[in-house]
Amino acid sequence: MERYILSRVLQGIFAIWGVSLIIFLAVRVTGDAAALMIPQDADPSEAAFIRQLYGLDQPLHIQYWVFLGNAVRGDFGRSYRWHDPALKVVLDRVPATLQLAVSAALVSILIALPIGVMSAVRPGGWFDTFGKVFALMGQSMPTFWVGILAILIFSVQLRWFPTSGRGGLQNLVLPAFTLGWASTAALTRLTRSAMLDVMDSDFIKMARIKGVPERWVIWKHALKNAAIPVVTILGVQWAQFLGGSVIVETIFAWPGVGRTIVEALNNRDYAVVQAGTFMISILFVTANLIVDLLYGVIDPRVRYD
Amino acid sequence: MATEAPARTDQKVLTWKQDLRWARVWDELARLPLLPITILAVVLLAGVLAPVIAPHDPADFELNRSMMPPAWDPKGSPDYLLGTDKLGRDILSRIIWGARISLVVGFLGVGFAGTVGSILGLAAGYFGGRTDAIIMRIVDIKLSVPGFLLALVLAAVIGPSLQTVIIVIVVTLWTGYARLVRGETLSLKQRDFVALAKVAGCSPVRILFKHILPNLVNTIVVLATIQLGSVIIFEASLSFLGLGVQPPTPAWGSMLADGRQYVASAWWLSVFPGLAIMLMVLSTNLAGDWLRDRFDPKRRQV
Amino acid sequence: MTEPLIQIRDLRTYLYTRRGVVKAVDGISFDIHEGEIVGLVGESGSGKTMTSLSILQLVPQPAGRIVGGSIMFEGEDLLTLPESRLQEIRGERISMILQDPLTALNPVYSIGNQVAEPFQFHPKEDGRGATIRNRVVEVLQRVGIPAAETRVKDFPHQFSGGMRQRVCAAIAIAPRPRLLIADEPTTALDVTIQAQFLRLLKQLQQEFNLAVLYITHDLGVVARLCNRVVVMYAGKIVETGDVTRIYKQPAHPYTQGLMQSVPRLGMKRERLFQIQGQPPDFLDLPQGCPFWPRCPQAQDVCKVEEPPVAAVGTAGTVRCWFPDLTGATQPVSSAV
Repeated sequence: MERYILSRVLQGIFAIWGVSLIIFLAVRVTGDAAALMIPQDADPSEAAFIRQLYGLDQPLHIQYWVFLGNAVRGDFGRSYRWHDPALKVVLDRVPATLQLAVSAALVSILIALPIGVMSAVRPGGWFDTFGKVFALMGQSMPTFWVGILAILIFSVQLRWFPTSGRGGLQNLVLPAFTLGWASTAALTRLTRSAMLDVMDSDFIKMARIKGVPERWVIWKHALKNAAIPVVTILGVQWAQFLGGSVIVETIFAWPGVGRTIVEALNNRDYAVVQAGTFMISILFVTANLIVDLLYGVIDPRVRYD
Repeated sequence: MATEAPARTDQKVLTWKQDLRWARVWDELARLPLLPITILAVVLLAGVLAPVIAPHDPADFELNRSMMPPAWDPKGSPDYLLGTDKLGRDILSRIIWGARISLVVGFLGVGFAGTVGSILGLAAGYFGGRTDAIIMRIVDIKLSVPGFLLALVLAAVIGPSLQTVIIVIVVTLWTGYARLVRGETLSLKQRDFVALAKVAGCSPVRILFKHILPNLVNTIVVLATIQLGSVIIFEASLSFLGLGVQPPTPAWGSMLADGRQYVASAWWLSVFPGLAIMLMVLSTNLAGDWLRDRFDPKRRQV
Repeated sequence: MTEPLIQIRDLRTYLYTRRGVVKAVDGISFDIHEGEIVGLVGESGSGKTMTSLSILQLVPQPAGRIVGGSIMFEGEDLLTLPESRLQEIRGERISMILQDPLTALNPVYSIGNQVAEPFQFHPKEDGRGATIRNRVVEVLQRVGIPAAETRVKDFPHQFSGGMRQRVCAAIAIAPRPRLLIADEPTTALDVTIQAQFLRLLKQLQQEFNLAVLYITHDLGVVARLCNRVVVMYAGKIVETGDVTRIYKQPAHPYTQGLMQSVPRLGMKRERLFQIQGQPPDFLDLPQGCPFWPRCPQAQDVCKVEEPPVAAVGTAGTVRCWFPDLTGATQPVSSAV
């Protein structure tokens, strides 16, 4: 068990290092990073000063060593827009992103599980047809359009929820539903097919033979088995939640990491971009590790060695 | 075990189908997904014939007719069926021209990603050892970060343009093909016909492309079709964030981004481009599902 | 003779498939008495499993439907009971052991949890006020699970196939049912384990005076275990009778074929007999007797008209135009 977690953590660190390398190279190689930062009307001596200040006059591998050494100590440089250490800028916004992503995950699980189960209990029935249409729509509507439609309908027309900002539960509803939308559709279909497989199995027949009420058969015996593939997919969906948060945070002016990265990209505030992607990668790797461990809780056959 | 009898029914179906080849062909035709094919055909035509069929020049702006609602609105004009945007450009024409961008990005993105991913997957699966280790490590790294985020950063750094969008899509999507093709190659290379080709002195390149790849084409095409929809959404999302195709080129995603600010006053700016994306993606998804069931039944769960 | 425990009369269970109606159980009638072991024999696909699922009314949905007949059990017709009453009967009065112990237990719940369910849902006082946990351990000990006390916390994958089938047996006998249906419970087990399991089954049967419907295609097992035999072919009963009589003097050509295909001790070195042809296609049954295409004694009448049922031996029946009645102690009385 410990060995398993250790090896997964090492894998995660390796992956995060890989990502940071890609981004480092992307920023430095694809263009003159200084040129992006320096105002176009700056005179050469100013430009040289900025280059020196950010160490951009050094050879690439030296720059990388410096970058890596600093990154390990949590120093991604200063954000010249926020006048704060980049990591602090990002860390301040992590709670907002986490709140949004976790709410979206909850929303999609809470909607997808019941609809998926009911669809599987009566395949071809009313619920199933609804679920199918819903899933197709869900996978075909881009997140940002869902968000705009949600604002159009629920904020502008019905005036139920505010259009933007972070605050109470009121503010959370639309962003969370928007971010959860696509995953909800996918999870519904997956729950349905997993349940259909399980309902066909002998141990379900056995439970009925024992005289166990049908409700108990479905929600105890079948659902826990069907949850195994569903949990696996949740790990994958987590990427959707974190990636999608960039768009959803932008639409709803949600003060999270995703929106900050987009702003930083527009401002060429690369220290923040680097710290932000680093942070998101950590959240992602951690969440996947949690999903892996959750696995063992649900399925007693899983062994971590 | 309760279904011993139906198991026999299947056998019956099989012989019945063999007997009636023509009935089978007819069956397939009848089950073709007509709606998605129609929508795809319309989008394809719109994209190819945009200069001919678009009622207006998509870049022709005239502030006098700014923000006109669709034709059926009392304030609309039959000349501008779906209304006009802030600069007075015709929404319908822009959607028709936007189809071009979606198609070009969709097909080129999936095509290049499929080619790159398949070649790397073939190499990893066939040669194994260090080649395999390096390629799969890169795939692992790729999978450890939300792809969209990486794409976003790359697009911004390279500088947003049509080419950038395609490059970024290839960088994001090749891993799916690499993993799929690698797995299939691993099992195919154990088969007798590969051993035979080796004995006959075929070069590895020849074995890979003449003997292994043809067996994988169905699988790759099915994955590509299924991914077409997400690539279109991907492009639209990048354009939406201003990191995709740059104005004044009309792209569905950037049209939505423009419309977003006016969602309260001019809903048609954001509803119609979104509808176009949805219909397009819906039909590629349906077509993809159909192809998968038809050519690749074992992968139904993916 | 006393009233039978269960009386099945003219039971019809059809499966409505896309390609047509499968008459999986087509008008069968037989009784099982208290404490009796009845073997239900036939090739796979002859309707044996459908018969047992019909008794419990668990035929696969939505394709399967019981379209006719009656099943009288302890004074009630099971086919007319509401689902809530059936749930009381299932597990408590009638239980069942499935074929494959590897799939019959839920992989994500502990053995104890699963053995406890019959007690939970059929709270019957055993007069000793024992807790469910104690009763679970007790019944697991009874079926021969070593260290039952500690193993209740284990999951199915931690048990061997034979042990899992014992757990299934424990679940089946836990609430002291009157009728136990065993659907080929030993087919998935190793030969040595099979013998052990059969011995256990026989012991349990005697101890609780269980009536058992033992479904199998293994005639060797039937000979060792059963009192009476019911032979099914294509959804119909072709022969019933006392186990000794059926072994010595099978009356139906199909039963004869089955008997000759069993290897016996002291048999001369010769090839085992094999019934000719394919098992019948339920969607395309021949006219007349369904067995005629494979029957060595088929005459013209067999191909046209369904055969009548004749009495044979003690309380035996045979459905054939030309039964071999040499072993019959009673004269033929035709009853169509």
